[in-house]
Amino acid sequence: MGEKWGDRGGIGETEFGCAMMTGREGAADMMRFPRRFLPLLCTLLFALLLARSQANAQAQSSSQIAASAAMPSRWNDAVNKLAAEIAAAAKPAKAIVLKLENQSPISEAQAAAVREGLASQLRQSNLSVRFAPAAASNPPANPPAGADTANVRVVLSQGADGLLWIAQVERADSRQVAIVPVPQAAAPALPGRIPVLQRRIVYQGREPILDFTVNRQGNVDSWRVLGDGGLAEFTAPLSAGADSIPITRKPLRNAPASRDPRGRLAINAAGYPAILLGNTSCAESPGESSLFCGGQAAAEWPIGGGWRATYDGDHNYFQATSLTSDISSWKLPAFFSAATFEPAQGAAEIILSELDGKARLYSRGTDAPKSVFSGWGDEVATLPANCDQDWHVLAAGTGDWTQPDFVQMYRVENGQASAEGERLNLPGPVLSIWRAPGESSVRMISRNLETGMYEASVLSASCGN
Amino acid sequence: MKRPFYPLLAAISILLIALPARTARRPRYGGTLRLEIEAAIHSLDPAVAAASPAEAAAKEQLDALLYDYRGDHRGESRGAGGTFTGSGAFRISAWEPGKHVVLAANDDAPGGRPFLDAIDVQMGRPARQRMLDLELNHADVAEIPAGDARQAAARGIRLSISNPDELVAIEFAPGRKIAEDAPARQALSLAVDRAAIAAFLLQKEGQAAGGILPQWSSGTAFLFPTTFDPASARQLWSEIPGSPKLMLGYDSDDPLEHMIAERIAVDAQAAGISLAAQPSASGATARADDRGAVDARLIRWRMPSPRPGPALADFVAFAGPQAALGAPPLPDAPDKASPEQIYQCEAGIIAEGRVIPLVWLPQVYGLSARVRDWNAPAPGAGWPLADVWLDGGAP
Repeated sequence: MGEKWGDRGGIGETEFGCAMMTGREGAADMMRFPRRFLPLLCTLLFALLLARSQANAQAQSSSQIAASAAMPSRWNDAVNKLAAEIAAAAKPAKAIVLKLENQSPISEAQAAAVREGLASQLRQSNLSVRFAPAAASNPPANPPAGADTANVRVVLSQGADGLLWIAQVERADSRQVAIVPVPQAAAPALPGRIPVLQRRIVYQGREPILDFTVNRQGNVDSWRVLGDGGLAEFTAPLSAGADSIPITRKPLRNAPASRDPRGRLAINAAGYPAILLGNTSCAESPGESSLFCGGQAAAEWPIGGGWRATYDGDHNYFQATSLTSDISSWKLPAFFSAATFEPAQGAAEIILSELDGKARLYSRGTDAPKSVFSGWGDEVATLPANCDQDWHVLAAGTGDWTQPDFVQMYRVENGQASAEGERLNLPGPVLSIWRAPGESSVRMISRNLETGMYEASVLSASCGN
Repeated sequence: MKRPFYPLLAAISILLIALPARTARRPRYGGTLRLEIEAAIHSLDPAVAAASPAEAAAKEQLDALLYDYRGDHRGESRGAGGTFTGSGAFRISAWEPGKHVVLAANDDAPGGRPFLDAIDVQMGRPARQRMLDLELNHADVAEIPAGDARQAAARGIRLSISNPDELVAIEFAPGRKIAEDAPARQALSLAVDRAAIAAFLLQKEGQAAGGILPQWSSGTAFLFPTTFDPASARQLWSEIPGSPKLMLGYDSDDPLEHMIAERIAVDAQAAGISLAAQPSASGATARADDRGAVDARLIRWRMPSPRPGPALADFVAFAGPQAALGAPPLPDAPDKASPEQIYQCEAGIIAEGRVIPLVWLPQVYGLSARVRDWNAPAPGAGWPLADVWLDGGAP
């Protein structure tokens, strides 16, 4: 498939630069300096780094404020419409006392931008606008509205159908209500930079996601998103908005029904793209608008590290078998997910999240686990770091699908797991994490309980300080 | 020195019991979930009407587990003996009318086999017994009255509380003299302290209601104030000639309605309104039967949809055309109604004053520690038991 997840999620050059300067090459260069300059050089270097980090922090902070304060452009129409309705309701008043309350999930910075936008539009309608003091609990009554002044209370509200901006316009002799529905701002599909473990949200949707891939050719991304209802395919230039992308949908026919559906966009043994859905595989026929699932043989899921897995269609777990003939008789227990290693020397170790809620590490050919890890969730995967030769293990948290979750990175050495870096906290459950054989990043499907959206993310490891 | 270790042993034992058997995330198959409900269902036959609103509501929930309602196909099927088997996530495996029913997982269920092997439903369990069974781990899921939620939480019961989706309101009977008097209706509305009902009778698990729809659904509930003004109520009432007396009916089988009616009587008396609370029969026909005997009646209406348009349309159908007199009608396709249309319709109903909203109630359930993936049911949605699993059930 040729996915290149890593090329959009690079880490900052500053961090690499620091690492290089404190590495062996940097130390060797410094040895050539006369010793008496060394303290001075170190002091200067330290001061330079300190100043640079502070400048970076300030720049980052101010850019975050600037970004969050920017009102989505799709709200401009709503601002204009509400301002027009306020101006019409306020007539013949010449002045407006405006109070804005935010009872919706939009940020206070965005609410402030809405307020400024409204004030600007109202002024263009030849109305004098001043803002009510923040402490005023009921602005329409404070100050009293006269013939020349209208008190306007704008509430940024939200109902089951979406955002609503509501204006109560009160004059001496009347009170009117204007309601404007507001298009929801699309959740930004932007990379979220987390030290050590990086997450980049690449796709969001209302329907459950089972797996996804993206290929980049030139300046165009080609997407395939597998859901439990079908496969969606689309291409998008990197600058295109989500609303303007034509999507091809191919429904799945004869798909097995499951309340915990598992699906994967994989590469089959012959090297062709394959769609795995539970214990079946689904095929694309040329010219057909649907995908047909089923077949005689049970679908084989590639899980890397010289292993393949078959899915138990009556339940929701897998059984692994080795692709290596010399250990083909080695039977592993059933599992929900597997973390396989791909070291060059071919030592076959595997971590399975098993049905009893524990994860176990097995070494080549041995039935007894080498280690047992408690407190891990059912989703595990391995992840190579791009700055060292080590493999890391990712494990989701415990709980169920109604709770927030996290992903923690571990280093496993001599059968002992030690947590590395900060955990990646998520506003909803991790539904799946896995790494396709040969890939250097992990695909994660999670659900954001705050927005109800399913999120496809790419996890990669950076070696920050 | 001999050191007693029993306290330590006891503490460790309590800790081990308190901890869930597993801390898993992906669903496990297996196990029997024990469900306790208040209502006693006497027939699961969809063609047989329930005897009370509570029975009808519970029966609807079980029906949703037994029958696949997707599309137009009701999904029911009968066996050789005329018994219902259903085509939903579960099938009936044992049935004792009014007392007990066991539902077994349907391996061929649309959407996949449920994770649970079975659901054991105990019916007709009073609230106190249900809470006790949750505490003693004899039940996995049980209904909790909203007013008992704080007490249940204080007793350590794990709770699931939905968005408020049930409205308690006063509905005036069309044709009664006092009910046709707009100042009298307004006086009663101003006399009722809704905040006190929410805070004390419902232990803060309800919300005072000024409109028909809650804020989370319509987004405009804050535009309908819940004004408590006994002085203005007294003034309005004093201007009504003839010193009328207002009879307020309530469901005699509903302890919450009883408490609210008594509270309204106290509030009314404080505002100089002569009002008597009168218990009456429960059931779907009670509202119609009462109309000859009472001037107004407490009603409970549960939203059938989280969306404000369809929900308000359902309320208009429930309350009858009198309630919406003067209100601009919703479009024929209420799900297409604009926020402005919904607000105007709701404002018209409130201005007419034939319905006085009092409080919104959430659905509250007590859950055992092993229940997983339980999402509080949304309006119109059934119990999520086809997707629930038990931590500790055999995989």
